[in-house]
Amino acid sequence: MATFVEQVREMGIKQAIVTKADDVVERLTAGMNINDVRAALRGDEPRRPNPRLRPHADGFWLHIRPSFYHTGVTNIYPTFRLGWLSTFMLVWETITGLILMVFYTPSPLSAYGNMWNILGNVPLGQLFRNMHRLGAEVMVLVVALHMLRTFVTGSYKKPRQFTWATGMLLLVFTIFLSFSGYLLPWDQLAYWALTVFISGGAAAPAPAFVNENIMLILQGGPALGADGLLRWYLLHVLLLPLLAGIFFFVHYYKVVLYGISLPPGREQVGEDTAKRVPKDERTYYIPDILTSELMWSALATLFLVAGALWLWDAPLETHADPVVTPLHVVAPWYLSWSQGWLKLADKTLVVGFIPLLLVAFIVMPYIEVGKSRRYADRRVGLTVAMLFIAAMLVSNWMGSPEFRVQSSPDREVSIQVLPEEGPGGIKGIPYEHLTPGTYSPGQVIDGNPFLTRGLELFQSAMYQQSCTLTGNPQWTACTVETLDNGTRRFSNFFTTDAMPDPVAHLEIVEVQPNLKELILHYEITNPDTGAVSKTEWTRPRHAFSNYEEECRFLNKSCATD
Amino acid sequence: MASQTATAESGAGASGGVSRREFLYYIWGASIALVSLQGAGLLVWFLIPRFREGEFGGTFTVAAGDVPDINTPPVNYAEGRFWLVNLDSTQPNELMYQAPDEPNPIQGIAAIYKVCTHLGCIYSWTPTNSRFECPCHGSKYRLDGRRVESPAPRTLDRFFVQAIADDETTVLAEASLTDNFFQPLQLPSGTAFIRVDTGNRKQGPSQPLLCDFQGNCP
Repeated sequence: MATFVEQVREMGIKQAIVTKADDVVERLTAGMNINDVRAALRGDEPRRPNPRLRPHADGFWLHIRPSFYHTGVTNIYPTFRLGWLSTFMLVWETITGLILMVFYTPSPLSAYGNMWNILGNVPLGQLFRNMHRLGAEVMVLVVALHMLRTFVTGSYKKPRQFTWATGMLLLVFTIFLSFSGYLLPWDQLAYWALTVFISGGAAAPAPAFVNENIMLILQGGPALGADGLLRWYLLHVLLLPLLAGIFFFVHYYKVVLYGISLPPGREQVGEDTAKRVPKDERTYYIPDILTSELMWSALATLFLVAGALWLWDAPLETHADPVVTPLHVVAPWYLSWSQGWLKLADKTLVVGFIPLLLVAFIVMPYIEVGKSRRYADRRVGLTVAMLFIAAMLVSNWMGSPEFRVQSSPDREVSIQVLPEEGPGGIKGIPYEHLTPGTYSPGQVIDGNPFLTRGLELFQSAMYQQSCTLTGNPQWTACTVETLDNGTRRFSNFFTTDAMPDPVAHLEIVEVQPNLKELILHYEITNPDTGAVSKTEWTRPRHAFSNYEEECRFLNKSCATD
Repeated sequence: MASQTATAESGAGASGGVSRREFLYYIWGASIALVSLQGAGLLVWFLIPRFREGEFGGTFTVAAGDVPDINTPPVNYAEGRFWLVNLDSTQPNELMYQAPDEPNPIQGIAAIYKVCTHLGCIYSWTPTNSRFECPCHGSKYRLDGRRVESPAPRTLDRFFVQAIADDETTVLAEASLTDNFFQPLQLPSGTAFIRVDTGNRKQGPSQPLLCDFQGNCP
């Protein structure tokens, strides 16, 4: 071939540049020159031999993609684009995760501080954290839906059993990826969710020394600490993405090998025609599938960015504290079902059952060998699936915050109004507005809107946790229930364990310059025995603690607004 | 030559006996599998963390005057991860009492491990309800650590305690083991200090739930 200089001499500078550009484009696309690309974008018929097949044969990026699909699988039904979306989410999480890694060190000394830096200091830091966390939750949802649709359309049947099995592994990796990222912010939510999860792993039906070592290996020590955080970080950023990546390619290789299964009604029972595509039923990857995938990428990006910007903020609690478990810790929503199961059965039974369920799912296509993929022929299978989904939804609901563990009603009020750690409620009132004195719930303080707002919060918390037997109009009416042992239990619309006719107040004391103590006093008289129980709850408030700002940062409801 | 004939006679050669080369490949494969297995075992061994026994505690010494009164709320030792309790079931109250299946009185002090026996959360004392309550899954325990409500599988773990004289060395008495569980220690007169060994912990037994006796299980 002539050199560029020779071409310039031969055809002039303009024509030489055009020829060179054509050449470069053909090399980059592994086979399509400028005219071919433009023809593809215009939607013209390809020339013969078809240059649009060459990127699949000669190029790296498209060699794993089929050069054409059966037109029957290119509509929304039957795939709903869920497999593609799962892959998109994996890439999305990798990119946003890599960016977050730049500002993160896996050490208990710095991890939580890194979160605050990312949220408040790094340009677009909060957006990236929100996108990563939202993406993680969406990915779990998308992968689960992908599994559901594969089941419903019978696509797990011969010859795609192994594809289904690798898909099950990918579901497990997805959940573990999402959950392992949970610990990294090193906040209370993270710490206790992981502690419960690891203790669950150590409740396996195995000899005691095995369980002890499972616990030690997962925690990196007798309790979660620096070593544990490092281990979960490495799992999250290295081992799990690697496994997910490898098995993604195993999975996708099988998808390409067998083709995407047609809608069940489109082929004869027992036939698999996905790989025998008539000429007039072909939709070529270039340009139709490629441009459609670009559109879906744009839509998914739009949804995730908009969600992370305007609709949802990733939660962050106070710094992890290994000696205090906060009230109302719950599992992430995609593991709520296990929380529900723990209420029904012994932990060893639950922990032993989950891997059995997983194995059952993996081997299911090899046991359920009915030939027909049509819905009408699979009534039993589809019914079992729907019952399973219903059971999972009920389990999820049982594990939801609706059924969270209640403490005593006075403790519930205290936690809401004056949290044990971090900002919230009355703690958010600016220091100078905490005038020493004794106040009752709902009291209006002239010229002090902050304290008035705080006492309003106190009042509404009390309202939910108390009930009236004597007609005190401040509280809700009591429901009285006599237990088996003859004692009476008082409840109201909000709670099963309410304080009957409580007397409560807030005391603010200046204990030394720049330090006040906030004390909640409760006095509850048992109407049956006449016994009076007095409890109190004290939290300090220092003039320099920056609760006003923390309230905004951690999205807490504070008496500042 | 002879082996070639044999292979030809038996068709594909699958049943034609194992040749020396094939046999050596199998041995080779088996040794690779064995080494991989050993590697996996070593990896698990490598991953087991190294730490000093009883790292979070060692021993803690508490002055006898700091021991709570009989059947009053427990005292929290966060750094040693234990609650110190003083029990006497012969003077029953809301906090401590004798259940129908407990033939002998429960008397003395105990150091109770702060971690819930269910899934590792830190339970806390709830004064209004006069019992320990776990925020994670709602296990409840009496002052001595026995379960009131599940899902916890067993009584709270206890640490080894000793009663020490005011010379800070003489051991006057120490917690006794019954069924491999530390019983409450009755302090002899002259006890000036209590020593708690957080490196010596015994798992609580699996006793019936107390709420079954009270008829108020949820």
